[in-house]
Amino acid sequence: MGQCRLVTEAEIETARVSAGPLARLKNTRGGLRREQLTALARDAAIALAGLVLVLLLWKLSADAAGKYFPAPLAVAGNILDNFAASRYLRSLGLPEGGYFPHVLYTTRNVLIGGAIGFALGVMSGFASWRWKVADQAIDPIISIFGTLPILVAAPFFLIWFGLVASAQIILVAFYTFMILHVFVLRAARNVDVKYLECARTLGANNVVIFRKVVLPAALPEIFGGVRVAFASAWGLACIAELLGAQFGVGRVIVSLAAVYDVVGMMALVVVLGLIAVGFDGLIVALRAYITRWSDTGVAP
Amino acid sequence: MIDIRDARCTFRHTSGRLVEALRGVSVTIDDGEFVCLVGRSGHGKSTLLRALAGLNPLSSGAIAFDGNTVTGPSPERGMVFQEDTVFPWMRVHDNVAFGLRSLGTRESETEKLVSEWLSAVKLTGFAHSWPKELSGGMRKRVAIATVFATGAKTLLMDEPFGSLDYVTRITLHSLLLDLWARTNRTIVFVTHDIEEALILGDRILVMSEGQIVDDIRVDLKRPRDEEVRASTRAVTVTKSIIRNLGLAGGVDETPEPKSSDLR
Amino acid sequence: MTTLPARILCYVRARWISILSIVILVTIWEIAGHLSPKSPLRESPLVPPLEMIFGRSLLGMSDYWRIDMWAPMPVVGGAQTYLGAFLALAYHSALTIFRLASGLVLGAVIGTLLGLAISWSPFLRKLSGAPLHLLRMFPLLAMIPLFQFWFGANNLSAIVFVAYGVGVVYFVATINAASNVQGKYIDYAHTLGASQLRIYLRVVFPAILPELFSSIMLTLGLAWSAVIGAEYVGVNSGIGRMIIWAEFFSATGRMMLVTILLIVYAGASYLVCRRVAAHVLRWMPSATRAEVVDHSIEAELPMEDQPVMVNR
Repeated sequence: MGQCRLVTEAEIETARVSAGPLARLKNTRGGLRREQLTALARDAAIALAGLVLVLLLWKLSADAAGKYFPAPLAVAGNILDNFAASRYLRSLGLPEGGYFPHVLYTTRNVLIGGAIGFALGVMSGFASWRWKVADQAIDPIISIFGTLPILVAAPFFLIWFGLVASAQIILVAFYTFMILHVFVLRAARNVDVKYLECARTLGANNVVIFRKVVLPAALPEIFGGVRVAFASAWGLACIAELLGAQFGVGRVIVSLAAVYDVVGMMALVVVLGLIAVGFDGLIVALRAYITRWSDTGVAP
Repeated sequence: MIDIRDARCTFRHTSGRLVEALRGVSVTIDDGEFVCLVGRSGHGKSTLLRALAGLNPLSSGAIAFDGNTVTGPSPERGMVFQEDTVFPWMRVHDNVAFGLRSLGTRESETEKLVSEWLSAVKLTGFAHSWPKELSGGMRKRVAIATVFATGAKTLLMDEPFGSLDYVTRITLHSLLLDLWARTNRTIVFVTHDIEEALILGDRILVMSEGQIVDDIRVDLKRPRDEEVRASTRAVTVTKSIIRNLGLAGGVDETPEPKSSDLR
Repeated sequence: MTTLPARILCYVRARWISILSIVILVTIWEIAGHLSPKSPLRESPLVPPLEMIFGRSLLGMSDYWRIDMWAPMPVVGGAQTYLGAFLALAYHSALTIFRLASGLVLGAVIGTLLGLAISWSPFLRKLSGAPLHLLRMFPLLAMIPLFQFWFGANNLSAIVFVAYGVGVVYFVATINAASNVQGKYIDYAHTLGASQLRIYLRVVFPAILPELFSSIMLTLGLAWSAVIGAEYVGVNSGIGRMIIWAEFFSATGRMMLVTILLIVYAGASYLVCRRVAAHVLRWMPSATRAEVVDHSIEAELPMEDQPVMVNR
């Protein structure tokens, strides 16, 4: 029958597509990787050059400004000296030596608070998307507390919970909760209606639609929320410590400020910054892996 | 058997304007028919199709499938959309299996059906690819496989090949006709391309301004290659369709409600 | 049917759950306020009840009036007066708002200008990518002592700090937005013979304005955090500092009063900024939606409105 001839054309199309861009993926895997690597290397080189340039600018400003603005080498040296253990810090009255235990303390609190806030925010965000009642109940809280800078809660928490760790954790948790709630809600609502309709016509019920359509589609934007939340979480934890802690990075900064040790202060800010950057990088890497299906790097 | 009785659908645009998308459509479609809905953009074809799917409620009138009134979407009425609705976050295999898994099919049965339908649409080697690695035409084939795999008795297709290039389109035409001949399901196919309707349909319903203005039986022999399409009978049918579309219409005054406007 | 009381009724009926939510929260607060332990060591109970916040604490605000004009100074033995309280609140509020506004404007302007400057050369832009990313990630609030070391614990330091925090955001936002201006507009301008400078002023800058204005909402929150943070740590005036003064004596009533004031200010500033942004961006098209009319009921079935929050 004539249909035999037409069916073969379908195979022609498959073959034609294979010879095109997809061929590189399927055949010469080595070729693709080489291209990718050179692009990656070039980006890395530029990034490195940028950093070196900034370090140079820093060094020059340091030479000009003198004692107000220490040079990068001095800061690096300070970090290395005092990281593990330090008699200097003990002389300032801090309970344990070295930057490390304080950095660990602050990091731990941020991560715990972030995790709690994340879990709560995701749940409330999806609940608000699914049930209008939930949205109406939670939305005023988010609106009111969304406008005020979260750190005004810090003194209250310090009075109510005494311990800085708890105050920090609750601060970070609350902040993360609010950000994730907004991002999750928006991400869920931004899932293109066409996917929801298609799923319905294939017989999916609400549970299936949530698990297999909404959740994966919203994930990229949710990761964005995680990044935003954690970007500020580190500073938030610090402010709680700056207000009068016994322990943690903020406490060390305050002690160093009292003796006008600007090198030390900068050193700690740099350390905290590097941790923040490192953590952000982790999140970006995780997002890249989880959204490897995306051709644009963003939600569909 | 699909029974549409005096279907009406009126929308209100947010600007306040009322748009009567369907103005009393009544038609019966028998099992196994390949029906094409032809008409100009904005004259009700997509609205009718979506009402058949259960995605748009009717303002009045009723649609019944084998006696059961349509109240919402159901896997009995599979739909292939105009836009690309293959889930980008699932591999091809999981996409085709989606409907089956939603219906609770056993995993071994699902595997069998998925590979069967993937080979039916000539995509066997691509079961583990991400949709982003496929061309538009190949993704359409995935969508077709998905909808056929659920065993839906009726297939509703809303200008599915509209965004594809000519060669891909004619390839998919033959694929679709092949699948239809093998499975004998009912297909309702919306298109604004009269030629496409002639290649595919047993029956062409011409829609204009929310009503069916003509119901043509296309009794051309299959396969409808170029010679058949150039025959006198085909030309007569084409001319009559064009006349039907041209007469009742005139210049478009109201911009059509886009599918994204209609919820 | 759109008289004012009818509209209020409609508003309330649509949002009764939200209103109930707030009422429940306030009630819980009030109950906690009456149940929380009092102690002779503390000026107020752990959770200050409402009547106390607006009564004794409000009066107590006059303690912070340190200028020998218009009202007695409790700090040197004068009486606590409402006038003194309002004056104190007004004075410190004005200070804080002044710092906020100055820092915001300064940071926005400098950040945007620097961003435009860097965007001039694509090579510079790529070069600055990595350091900028680092700069953005450095925790702002941790740098408060640093800034106060550099500029002292005064108005200048607070303004500079806010400007820095806001400036970094605008810097990065401008660079991103400029690189996103579609090449086709720039090419088009080139074919019409425009010079680089002209392209910058007439094409790139207007094209990035929408994105910059949406940054306003984000930087507003940041600026509030920055100014309050600065006042928490070193600066000796402003409403942030008032909270700390009250905290020294665990005067939660006063703390809460100032916090409520802060919420009001912050909320108002968001509203103002939103208005300004909407006005400037009014030329942008907005989406329209359709609603289904059901003939059999002869009533409208409104579609659920799904607002998309652009920025918190």
